Amino acid sequence: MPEILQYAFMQRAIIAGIIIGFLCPLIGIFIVLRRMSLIGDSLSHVALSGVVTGILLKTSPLIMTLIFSITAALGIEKLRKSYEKYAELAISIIMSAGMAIAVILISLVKSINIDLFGYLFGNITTVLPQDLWIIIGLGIIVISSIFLIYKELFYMSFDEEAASLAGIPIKAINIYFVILIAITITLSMRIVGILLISSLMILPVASSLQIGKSFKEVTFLSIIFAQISVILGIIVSYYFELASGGTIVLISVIILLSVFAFKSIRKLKNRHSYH
Amino acid sequence: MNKILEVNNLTFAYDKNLILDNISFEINEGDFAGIVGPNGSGKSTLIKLILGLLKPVKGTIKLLGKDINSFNEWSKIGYISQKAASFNTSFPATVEETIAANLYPQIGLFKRIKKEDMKKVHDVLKVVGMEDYSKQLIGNLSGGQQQKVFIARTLVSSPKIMFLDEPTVGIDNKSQENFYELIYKLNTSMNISIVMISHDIGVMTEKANKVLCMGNKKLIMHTNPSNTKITEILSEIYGDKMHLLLHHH
Repeated sequence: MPEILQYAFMQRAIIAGIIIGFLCPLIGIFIVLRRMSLIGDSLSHVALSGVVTGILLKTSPLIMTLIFSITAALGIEKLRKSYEKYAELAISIIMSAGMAIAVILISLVKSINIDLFGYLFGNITTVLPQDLWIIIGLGIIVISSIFLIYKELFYMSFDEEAASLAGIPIKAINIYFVILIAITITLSMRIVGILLISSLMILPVASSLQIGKSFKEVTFLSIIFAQISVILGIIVSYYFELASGGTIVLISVIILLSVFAFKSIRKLKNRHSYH
Repeated sequence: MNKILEVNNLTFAYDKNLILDNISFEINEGDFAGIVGPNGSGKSTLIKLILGLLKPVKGTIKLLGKDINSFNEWSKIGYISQKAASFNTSFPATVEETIAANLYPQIGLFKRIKKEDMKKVHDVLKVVGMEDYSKQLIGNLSGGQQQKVFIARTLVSSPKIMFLDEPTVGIDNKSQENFYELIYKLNTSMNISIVMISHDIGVMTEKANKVLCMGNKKLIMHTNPSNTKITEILSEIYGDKMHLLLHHH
């Protein structure tokens, strides 16, 4: 067995990483196509206040974050109705409120808790056994939920008005979807870090959009890119003692740049063969 | 003849601004109805009311014999909006993925698409003459081809009536001709009732058996109107200086 897999914390980190490598792109593809990219940032700011509340109350930060982010997700949906013409305003309002609460709560924690840094930037050593069970359990629920409403989410992302007319229950699916986003952010924060979760939702999708030739292919490639980023990121961060979140996201950026380079080379080759 | 759509004493206002005042008309099975009228006369609003996207102040709407408030057979109603042509062209969907989407409500939540559903998709692609494009990304097609795909998307759920809101905006003349021929074919050979908003008066006089003229918050329906009659009506609603130039599609 390679050295990296001999430690229980690394085994937990890799299992959690693989689940997150499925969750983030599956949620991310619909976030990107529905032009809701900011929602990931907004809910992760709220997640921070959930973490600090957990630390302050000496309860599980994961459970507190879950409560905070689901409440915020429902708040965004509610506010969106009040600002129909300015949908992004609802997301910004919740982001501001989440950050304000987090800052006040952090000021109440007299000394900056080392654990807080782990949540902010990602730390592979902090996935506790009980955290792993929550990540596995809820992760499987979110992944299967997405597969079960995949076709409805596809139609809504492409043409919400037509989907509504065709009889798809838009409102119910929208609420369910934002709850899934909130759960994904909560589950991913240990590995990727609150500040970088939305990057892992968006970057693999951005790469696959450049080369995918159908919706199915874009989904498949997004998962592949996310898995490479997460697993390689965890391994690299272990050997070089780096923050796992930053390493994972940096690998996603490298993949994106490689995709651009691959496309440019292919274009040049095509032009060359044309001449 | 079966009544597909019945609109009775319909009134609609945006806040206090009255848009439609007590209008009534009927569309029967196999009708090809054209809606004409100047911009702002409430043509799109009327279609949105019929589709339940807006709520009327007063009046009733019946689709396939059922009141709009309890109507649930939306798969039998097709709609192509002005927006259909202005969708996100970089969306990574193939032609067949786009069309299959309209079958999803019938397939139901939590169920996967089957082989016979994909056969329906390929059948409607043949009807609109786009069978060779099934694996292409929708964004890579021309405006005219995209509009045909949207027609196919509507057709796949076997509609009884199709509403089209200025469907040829932004499409070149040649593609417009093909498009109108296709709509006429659906009307005559598949017996799908058509309700189409268009500023193309030539198509209205040539293809439509009913012309719904809108203006001054009112609607007047004319059955099988002659060209002279149409000219008179349009002069009334668009203004005296209007002359009708007919061209054949």
